[in-house]
Amino acid sequence: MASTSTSTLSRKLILKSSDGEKFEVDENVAMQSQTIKHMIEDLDDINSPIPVSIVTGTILSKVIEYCKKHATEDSDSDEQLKQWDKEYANNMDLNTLYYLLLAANYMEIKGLLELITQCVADMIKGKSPEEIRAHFNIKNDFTPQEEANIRNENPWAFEN
Amino acid sequence: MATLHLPWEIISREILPKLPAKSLLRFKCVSKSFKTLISTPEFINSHLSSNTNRHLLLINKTDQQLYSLDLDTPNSAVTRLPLRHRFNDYDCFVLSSCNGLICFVQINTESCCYYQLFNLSTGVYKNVDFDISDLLSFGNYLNFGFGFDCENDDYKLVIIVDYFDAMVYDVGDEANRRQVIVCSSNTSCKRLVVDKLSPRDTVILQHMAVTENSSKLNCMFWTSSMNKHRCGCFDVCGERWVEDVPLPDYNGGEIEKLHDFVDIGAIDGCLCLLTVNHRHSSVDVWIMKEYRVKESWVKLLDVSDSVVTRSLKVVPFAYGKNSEDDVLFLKDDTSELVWYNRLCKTTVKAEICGVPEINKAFMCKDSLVTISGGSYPSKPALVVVVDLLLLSWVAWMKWLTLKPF
Repeated sequence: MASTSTSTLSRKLILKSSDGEKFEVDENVAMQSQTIKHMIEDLDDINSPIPVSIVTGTILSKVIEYCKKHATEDSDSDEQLKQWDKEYANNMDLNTLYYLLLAANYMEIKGLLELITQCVADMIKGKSPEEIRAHFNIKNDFTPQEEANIRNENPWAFEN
Repeated sequence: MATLHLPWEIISREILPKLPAKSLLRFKCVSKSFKTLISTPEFINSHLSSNTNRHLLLINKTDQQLYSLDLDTPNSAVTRLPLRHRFNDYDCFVLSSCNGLICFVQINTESCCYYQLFNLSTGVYKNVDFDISDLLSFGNYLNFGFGFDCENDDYKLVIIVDYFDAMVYDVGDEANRRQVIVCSSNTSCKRLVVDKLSPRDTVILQHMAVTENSSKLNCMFWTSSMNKHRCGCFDVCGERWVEDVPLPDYNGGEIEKLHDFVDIGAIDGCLCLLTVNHRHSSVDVWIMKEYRVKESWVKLLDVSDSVVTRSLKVVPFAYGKNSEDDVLFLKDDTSELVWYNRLCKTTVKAEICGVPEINKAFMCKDSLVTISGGSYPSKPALVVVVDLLLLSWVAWMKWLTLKPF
């Protein structure tokens, strides 16, 4: 373990993406990921790159952008932070959003996972069952009669 | 990047629980796995705790009907709930909501009384009869509450009955002074609780605040002998009085004078008090962040603007969607809703078209919670579109008076 006498704020970690890209980040930024936190605890040499095996460099840089914003304890109010989160998520296309969601899930970053899943939920809440099947690549395994029966249980849920 | 499909685990555990109940009812016909998942009690509980969708419920003064709207979506429609009842606050009144179920009571002097539970997101409802004809005599003081017994998955109506003469003249034994009646919605059973722990003090308000996973009913009492308030707590699971809830230090001491305390309620599941500070001519709003922890009381608001303090008679009942610095109040003198920002100390009228004068306002969570033995109506609660609603931050925007029906 590295000496604990140095300030924890100044310690740097190196994260390595699945495609070999390296990112140097402050420890408190990286520690927002529970997965990395646990990895560091088992690590002998803090200076060697920490592999983030399923996340590409493009996605990892976006994850780090989020973690940096949420690691700084500056004077941003809750409202400003929420506004930043909203813009951050709105700037992603769907595929990026999904890769980010997988990364947040794998890296166990609770805030980011909440943000992206809420964003996806808002995106799909008004969709029809057909659109949901296409969106999530789900096969309809009901017979037409079965499906009609379920629709009749709550017909109003299909009205606007 | 290739088109990515999310694993079922993420869809089912992280995304679907955040959807509104209406979307989930529709998505039951996506596939068998969707239908099975959405119907499990585990999913219903996870949806209840992780979805942030909420409904604002209003009782219109003019027609005494119950209206609902989505507080967080601009321009959302006000809908009138299809109930035959007229909520006049006298023999028909709404108690509160818990777990997305709304409870109202219909008192009949000649026949049996009943209370109704209903889920406005799914339309499921249940009427539960109870007989209190023997209690409706002059001078008895009835205080109604509604809570959830999480141990038995049972919603219960709680009635505190104070026998006026016996309380005032302090005569007779415990049973002659105060009784608590608990009516279970599962069994329709009426049980009498005579509890020595029951505070022998005067009930101040005719309502109770529901907290702690909806299983605790908090009721304010006035102890004249000690010249102070106390907050009694009735446990809906155990059906008994438990230890008092500590009150905040007010002006460095206890809340002393009777008129210093104004109202009790709950905001986002936390106990909330409204008090008057005579020394500073201000109104304070207190929040107990952690239930039963005296140190966790914080002063949320300290309002000294006399225009505002004059009209604050009930606790705020909702935070703004994006910030807890905004709280929603019902003004007593004008019967309208206002947002108060605690940092800027500004009030902004919440524009609601279709419900010009509001008698009562409260929040209800969006939920798929079922009621044991409940029935489905042919048409659920949220379909009668009335008028377009504008909830606007622009205070000076012209007030549109659209007559409801």
